[in-house]
Amino acid sequence: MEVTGFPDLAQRYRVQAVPKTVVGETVQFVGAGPEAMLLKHVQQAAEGAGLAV
Amino acid sequence: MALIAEDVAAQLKDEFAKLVNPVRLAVFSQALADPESEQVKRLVEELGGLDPRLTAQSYNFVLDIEKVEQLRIARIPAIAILGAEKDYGIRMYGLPSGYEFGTLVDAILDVSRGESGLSEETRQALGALARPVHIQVFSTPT
Repeated sequence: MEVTGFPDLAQRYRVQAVPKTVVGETVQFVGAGPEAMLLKHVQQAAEGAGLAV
Repeated sequence: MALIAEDVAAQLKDEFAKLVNPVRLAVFSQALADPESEQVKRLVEELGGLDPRLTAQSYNFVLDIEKVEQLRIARIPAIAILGAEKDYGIRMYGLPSGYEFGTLVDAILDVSRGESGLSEETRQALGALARPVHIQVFSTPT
């Protein structure tokens, strides 16, 4: 997602530094990270989304 | 005039020599709403001409609504990088310029190989997820 063309998304996800990764709608981090960290974020997002009870 | 310079096209042809399976690039643009998106369309069409295993299909974001919905295109310009038979869910939004052009080329090669580069352990854990997860990576051209 090349963010300069989409200021609405930059604002919505508060993109101030890049690369910024948004997993699901709630889990976010800036920069690169190890594979295990990304997996943890993805698992967290998959579980978190299920809490809408 | 071509958007991809001759020397860059020659380099890309070398890169695309590594293609394993065919890759389809579906590009979505709309001249009236977003003139810039037409440039992405031209770029993708030029990419499609660089290797017989690479094909480009152009769609209008407003008129080709069926394709927009099928591939879940949210905005333009958009490029869907699709395997011959499989959609890995990879979409690129915005202008693929600067470093992002390299990202597009890498995505094409990954889809062609059908290989994410993730470890077996990670792939098993991802296979066990209870629901699909949307991952968005925001970047700039520089």
